[in-house]
Amino acid sequence: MADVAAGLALGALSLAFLFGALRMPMHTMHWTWLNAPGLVPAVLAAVLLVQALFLTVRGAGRLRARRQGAAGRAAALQWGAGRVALTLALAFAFALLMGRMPFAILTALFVFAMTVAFRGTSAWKAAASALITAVTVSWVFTRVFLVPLP
Amino acid sequence: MTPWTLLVEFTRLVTNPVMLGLVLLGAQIGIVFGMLPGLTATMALSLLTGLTFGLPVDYAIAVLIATYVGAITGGSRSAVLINIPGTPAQAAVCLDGYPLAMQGRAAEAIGLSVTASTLGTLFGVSMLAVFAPLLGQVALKFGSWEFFWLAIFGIVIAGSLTAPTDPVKGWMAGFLGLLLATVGLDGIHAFPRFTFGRVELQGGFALIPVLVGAYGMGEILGVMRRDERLVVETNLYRVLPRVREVLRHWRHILRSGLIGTVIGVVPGVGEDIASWVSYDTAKRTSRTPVQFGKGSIEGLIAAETGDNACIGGATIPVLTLGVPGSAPAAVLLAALTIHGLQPGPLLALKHPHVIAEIVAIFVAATLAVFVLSLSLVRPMVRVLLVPRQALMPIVYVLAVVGSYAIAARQFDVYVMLGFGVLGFLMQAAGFPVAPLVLGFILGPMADDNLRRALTLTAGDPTPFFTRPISAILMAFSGLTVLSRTPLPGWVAGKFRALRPRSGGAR
Repeated sequence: MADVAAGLALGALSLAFLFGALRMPMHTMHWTWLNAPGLVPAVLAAVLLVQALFLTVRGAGRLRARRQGAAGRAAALQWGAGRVALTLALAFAFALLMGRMPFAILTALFVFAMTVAFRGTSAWKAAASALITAVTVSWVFTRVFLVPLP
Repeated sequence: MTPWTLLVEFTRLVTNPVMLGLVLLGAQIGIVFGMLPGLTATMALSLLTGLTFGLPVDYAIAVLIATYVGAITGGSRSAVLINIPGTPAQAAVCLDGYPLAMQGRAAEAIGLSVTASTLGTLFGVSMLAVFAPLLGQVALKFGSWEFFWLAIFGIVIAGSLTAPTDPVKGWMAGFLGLLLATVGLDGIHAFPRFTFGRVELQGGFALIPVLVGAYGMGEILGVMRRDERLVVETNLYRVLPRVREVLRHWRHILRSGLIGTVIGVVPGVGEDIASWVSYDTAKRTSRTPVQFGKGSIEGLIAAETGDNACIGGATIPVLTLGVPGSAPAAVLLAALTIHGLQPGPLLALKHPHVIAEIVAIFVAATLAVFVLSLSLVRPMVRVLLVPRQALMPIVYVLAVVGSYAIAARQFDVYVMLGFGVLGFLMQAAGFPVAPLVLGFILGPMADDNLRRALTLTAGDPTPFFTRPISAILMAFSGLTVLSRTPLPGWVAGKFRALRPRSGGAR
């Protein structure tokens, strides 16, 4: 199943790149097809498309028809899909809130929330870790490495 | 580079307290990253490249090199104590390191592994000192044709070796990396490709966010997916260097050092393969192969020497060809580029002392790692027990800052996240990440050199196949692909089918 999904996704991506590359001008007063900007992306996308087709066909051949239902959901939970989704949600929230609130406060909140959410340690230890991380990261990068934080 | 130049650079390094402090700091950071499962050498280097961006070039490179050596050496700690390799390079170390710990010989195993790692790194670095200038001279003869094939050869071989059971996935990852590298203004005409009118995309995806995302964010997601707690069930007493005991196995050290260095030179392959091949070779040549997997000293030494010798080997193509020999070396290549030292054939000409300086840093870092590894055993075991769920939020903050610091652009943070998700999904679907990153790094080399070569010959592709080095690289690439297809098996089957018939005719 994973191979078929990966093959289809990469096939679609390579088709999009191939289409985009072929739309680039192949012949202008500055270049011919020999050094056209779209030449290499078109070749690479075509090669990737062939490989993706191979992967999809091979994966489909191996795929056994099976019902996805409660068993599929249970397998996803056992695999850790919920934990991955929570990590991604917190990570994207951190990235989106950058620049909208002071970096040190955002860092403290993020470290605390993530540590507590994943039961990494007790709430007190998580709070201490969050404070230390926020202060240290902000101070070291703005004062020592002279990196402008958002 | 003469021994005298090397000595001058080494003396200059050890008499500079700031430099020495940074080497020690980098070595310790590397050991911690290496020993904690889920934090890899590549992740450490990716994070630190962004974070040390503001430092002078020699200081930044010193931190990165010391971290590289520290991480590859430090990974054996968790392999011995909890049977989980700290980095993929130590997977083979688990086989004999953990049984030794279970026999109550954990301290001895750590002493042996650190000593073997030190000897392996020094072997690889001496090869770097000897062969980098020589290969640099050869690389000066490379033209666009050779560089194009070198890029293709790199991803073909990396794809084959990092996805041994399904090389197609390795090659696909490599081609995806090459393709994603074409986003942005093209290198010859500055024509915007796949930018959709967005200014942020005109420079393409920046290398550090891509590396931090693919290796750092991907690993964070991988670690957070599992709910695991680590338990150390062995006691440690005093750990002493076991130089004499290790040197008794000098044949394994030399052989594994050589294997590690050669594998390191091969683009994109890396320390884990070097460790496995060294271990396997030691087992085949050992007088006591049955001991392997049950606590064999030979196995432990071979695996550790091999993966550490790979460090020097992987740095050789970085400095001479601008092609990384392993995933951490790819980050080192990016760091050198970001700091204005363009790695490749012209590096030694433009910066005559840089190779000697890098070798001196490697030697100092190796000694620093040796001392730190043997002197801070108990505190490091406590670090090993810190829950990774509590550590990963901090690593993520560092990944964000590291991606942001290069250009102070929010867009780079999104790139890091995007490549993190991509890397994680690829790993979940059985695709190796190393060829993707290698393809991304080698993309401009393949793109510009193919078009430049075709322009030089007015569209005649013959030199791609007739120039000697170009033809060799092309043949190796072709043979690598052919050897991983069903064709050789089919041909062998035909020969086997023919044999009885010819016998019967006689």
